[in-house]
Amino acid sequence: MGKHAMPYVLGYFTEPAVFKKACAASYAAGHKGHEAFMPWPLHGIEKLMGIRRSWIGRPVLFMLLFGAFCGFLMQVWMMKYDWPIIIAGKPYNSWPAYVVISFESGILSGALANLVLVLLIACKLLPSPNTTLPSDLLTDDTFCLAVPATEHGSVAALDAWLKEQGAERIEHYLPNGPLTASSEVSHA
Amino acid sequence: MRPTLAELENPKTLIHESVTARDVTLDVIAPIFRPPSIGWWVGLFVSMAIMSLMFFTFTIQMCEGLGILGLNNPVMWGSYITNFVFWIGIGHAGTLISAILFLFRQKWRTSINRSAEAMTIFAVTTAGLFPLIHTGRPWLDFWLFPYPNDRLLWPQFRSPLMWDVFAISTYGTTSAIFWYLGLIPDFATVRDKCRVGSLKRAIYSLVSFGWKGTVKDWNHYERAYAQFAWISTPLVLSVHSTVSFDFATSKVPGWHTTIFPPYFVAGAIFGGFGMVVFLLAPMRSMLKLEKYITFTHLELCNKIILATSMIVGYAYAMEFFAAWFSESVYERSQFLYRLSGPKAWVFWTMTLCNVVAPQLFWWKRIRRSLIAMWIIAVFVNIGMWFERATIFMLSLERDHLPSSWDIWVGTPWDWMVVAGSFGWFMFLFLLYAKTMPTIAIAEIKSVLVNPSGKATGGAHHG
Repeated sequence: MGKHAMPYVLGYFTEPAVFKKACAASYAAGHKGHEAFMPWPLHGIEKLMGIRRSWIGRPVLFMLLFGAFCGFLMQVWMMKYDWPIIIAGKPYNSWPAYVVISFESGILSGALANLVLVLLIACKLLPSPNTTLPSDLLTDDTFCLAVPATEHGSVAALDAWLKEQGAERIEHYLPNGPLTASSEVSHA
Repeated sequence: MRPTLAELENPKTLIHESVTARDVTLDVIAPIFRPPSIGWWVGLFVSMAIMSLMFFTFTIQMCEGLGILGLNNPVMWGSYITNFVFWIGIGHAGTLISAILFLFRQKWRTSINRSAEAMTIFAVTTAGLFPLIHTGRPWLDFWLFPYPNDRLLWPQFRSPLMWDVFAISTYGTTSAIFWYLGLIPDFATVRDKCRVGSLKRAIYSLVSFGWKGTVKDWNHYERAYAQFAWISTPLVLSVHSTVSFDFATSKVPGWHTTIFPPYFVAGAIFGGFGMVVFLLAPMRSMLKLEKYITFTHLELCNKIILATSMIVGYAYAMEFFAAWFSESVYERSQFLYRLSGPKAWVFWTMTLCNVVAPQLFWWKRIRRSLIAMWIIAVFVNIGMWFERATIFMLSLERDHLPSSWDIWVGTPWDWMVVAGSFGWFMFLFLLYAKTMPTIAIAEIKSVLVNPSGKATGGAHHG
């Protein structure tokens, strides 16, 4: 969530449809720096929050083709130029025989690029022995919309706004610090 | 009145609408937090004992040489290559379920894809052992890879055996990272259910890669997952095709045929689904996952077994037709040898297990009977091993020169390795079932009808 001095106001939801509406409302209200947590993906929510489709498609396609090209080039260089050997009377550059390994090199390169891009570069994830989320239920059955207080009025106003959106519980959370306050609200 | 398990199914997603997201979390991760049962320990020790037979044989073989096996001239490829192709095939169902069914938006895959993918990884791991040890000097296996060396030599890239090295290593790596990517959000779920400060939490936190599950993360993650499915689909079709090239590009009667790539892929999916049913039918009761792996899931797997059994049966028939139609005396003699030679029992066991036994799945009662489907799955596995034995050993026993004909007879070492490979596979699967979520938690939640349990007042505990 970044390093903020001011607390985030967190609204918890268990109804996916209500949560989606709240996220869309947050985007419409212009809450900059808001963040939403989901235990499972809700399709179409990224559009409601103004998030563009992931960009990792083209780089992976490039790496796939680049890997295949390198695999092909490797075989041609080794078999035709570096150590040419006549095998079964075939030409040195028997390119149809190189198709399988070129294909596999492309697949391997694309798959590795896909993993590295999504984890390390796009999501900026790294293994850590003490990852802690604002709530342990965020990977279970609870959705959370987090709005930074600095961006939109006072903490109390955000409390009221999230309650209006159907949040079942509201908490205040200081990133890189403990919870500062917690207040249960009744389900709207 | 308590609903029956059949009634606890939703016709679209197969999961009943009373199942909530919280139910999924608690039910799927429960086996990780429960102390291991006696049955699990017994299974683990038995599989380790059987597995040790294989590693003992490998050790003896490294001291004594390949002569301890039943190999001879002309049957240079015996039980090891049979095991190799058998286990590679077993892995195919996992990729089919995780990738191809994903692209076809088959929601029923969400209950079984995780375990089927695990099966793929363990099957490929098992398969990979055999060509490596079959080289006779496995400590020099790194020679197979193209690296600058003081011998100034490169591998022979025009050989299908080299294609195999690349195909299998790519398949193993890609399947493993696809599986791991799917596991990351579920590891995070387990992490958040562990006590704060515990070693268990630290371990699951490490393996969950700091997963937070923000909308931005899911946006990239879902794209990457779909891309893995696109990448894996041609891969899975190519791997067994490449394996079949090892044989089809040679001139041995019984091997030299263009039908091999699709025939091998269909056989692989057939055998793989046999193993899926063999594993999941007991696992669903042992891990109390009947709500998620329903009879309908297993029935769908059984229908695929039936369909692929007929494709395989057609391929068997086509091989005979092609041998007759080719007017090649060698081909005709090979197929007569399979039908009526001294090893005809191998061919007939294969036919009985792979073509006849699955026909019982025409009956709905059999498709939905746990015991019946499990027994047929055992038959399918036996049949697939014998199919590989028929293709490899019986073909090699009768090559072009009658003077070189011989019969492969397995030594106890061969059979110890065959049994040991099953022990090794089961050992890995049991470890997986105890330490990882055996159902894709995040994926299955996305197909629930009423995940919060509020709309219809369904069960919601916790």
